[in-house]
Amino acid sequence: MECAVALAFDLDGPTGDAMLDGSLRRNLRYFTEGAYGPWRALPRLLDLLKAHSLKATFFTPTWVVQHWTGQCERILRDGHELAYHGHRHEIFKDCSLSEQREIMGKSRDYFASLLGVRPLGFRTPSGDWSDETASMLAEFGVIYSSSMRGDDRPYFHRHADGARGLVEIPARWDVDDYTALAYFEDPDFPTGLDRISDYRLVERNWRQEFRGYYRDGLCWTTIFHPKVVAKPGRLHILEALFQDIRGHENVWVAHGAEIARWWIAQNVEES
Amino acid sequence: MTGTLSTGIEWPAGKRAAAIVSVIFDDGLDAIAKAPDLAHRAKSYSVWLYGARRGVERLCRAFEDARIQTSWFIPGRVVERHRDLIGAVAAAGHESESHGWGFERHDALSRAESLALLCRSRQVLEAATGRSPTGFRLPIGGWPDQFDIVLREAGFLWSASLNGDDVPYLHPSSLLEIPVHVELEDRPYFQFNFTPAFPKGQSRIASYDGVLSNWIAEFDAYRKFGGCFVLQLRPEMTGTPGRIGLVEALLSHIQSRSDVWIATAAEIAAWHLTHNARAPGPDHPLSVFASYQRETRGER
Repeated sequence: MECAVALAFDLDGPTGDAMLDGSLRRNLRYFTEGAYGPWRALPRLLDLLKAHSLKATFFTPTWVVQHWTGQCERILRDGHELAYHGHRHEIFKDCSLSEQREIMGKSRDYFASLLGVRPLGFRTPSGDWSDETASMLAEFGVIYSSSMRGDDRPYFHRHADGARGLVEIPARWDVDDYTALAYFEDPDFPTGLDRISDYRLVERNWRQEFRGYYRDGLCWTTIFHPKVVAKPGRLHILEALFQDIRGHENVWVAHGAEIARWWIAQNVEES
Repeated sequence: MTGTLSTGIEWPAGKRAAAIVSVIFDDGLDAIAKAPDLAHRAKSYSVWLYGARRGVERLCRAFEDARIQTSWFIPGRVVERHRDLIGAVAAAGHESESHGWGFERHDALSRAESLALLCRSRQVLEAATGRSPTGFRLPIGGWPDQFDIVLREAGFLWSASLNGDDVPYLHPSSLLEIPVHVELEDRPYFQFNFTPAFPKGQSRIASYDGVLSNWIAEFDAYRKFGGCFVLQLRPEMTGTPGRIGLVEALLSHIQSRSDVWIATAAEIAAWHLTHNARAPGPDHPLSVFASYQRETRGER
């Protein structure tokens, strides 16, 4: 294989800052904008992935699993991976270690009781995590994270004592659809209300990203959101990207967990 | 062919999707709501006043050339200010609907105050156009609890205020919602003023070619998936000499697809209320919002 691709989508739905601070209770417009993801955008995206025989990882807050259980069942049925992304998209850096454990415990229980799965992956929701997070995640059976930005291939996190911890499959802002396409006025995103990009140029950027990783034989992952990138006219961007991936030989398209396991197997720890 | 594509919605015979061309004519009330001192900044304020002076007429000419009927959302105060202009828009065959009274936040008003302003906005529109409006678009602020019931009480049949889907859906009161999406509005791409800053990051004005290409991509996809495409234009932003070509090119593209039903929002609402009036299921955004409110009752 020349290159690994871990297609990844954050299925946030309406979770996030406005749900955490309670302002979402009074903002039905914003709620419906988020709920559009699991309700309307996701099924179309799953159809498209199926049409290209591609599998992906869905980092999903368990609040979304709770309210759109049927949609999440289809994610599993279609052969995709579900992974941790908080319960209501909490900012882990702002939570104490015990709060972080509480969130993870709640998420683990919802995944188990509603879907019968025990996820192996974690992507930190909005913003940073705290210094203790990576080690804490291992307590919940997590073997990999896809949260960092500073590399273009997997690596190992280290525990405080230097021992080997989680596999990290880093992603970059360059392939986050928020940076190019997301737009909302109240609350405002992006903060300065920059323009929505020309879809054709977004497509070209993302294809060049994939091609660069392919050329250098790296591990590519994405930070896409169904509510942003699987809107009707934008699905075309993904279609072109998927065709490009499929048009290259020897691309290993895999779940984050498969890549993490492979990375662990390839890098037997010297003791 | 009866359109029953992936949205499960039935469209009229021979049509697989629908398109509404709407115009939001706020005459600067939207900008003043965000920057109240604009009223005393003649230069900056004139950016928005351009709509009434030139943009409305230019948009109407483009619609006439394309022989297309459109849906206008107008606040009551703007109707009072520009009665003749709005009468002329109506006389040209366009439908005028309510955009509230004067950019009030309904989530900061009592139910009685909301109801009074909504009724008043219907009355002035009816007086200016000779037609009683059936629809409403929330101008600013949050959608208050049970606001669908208040709108029904005020005599409205439909709203075009929320997001959450690509096809119309029903509120519990049977008010129809025609969902709207910000990427089909001109404002995010084109609004600009230095001081006060609109948008606040003073972003570069978008490429016209890119906006046309995005809108065509969206329209083509709505057609493919059987959705209801709702274009939202503002006279002061796209009713300009440089941008009207983009509107004309888009209309021409839309009209080249004979299997898309081009209709006013009121026509589409009437169709849905007859043919697709089903209560949303438990996983519909509106239903999930109701559960969310029940779950969090008593929180902050």
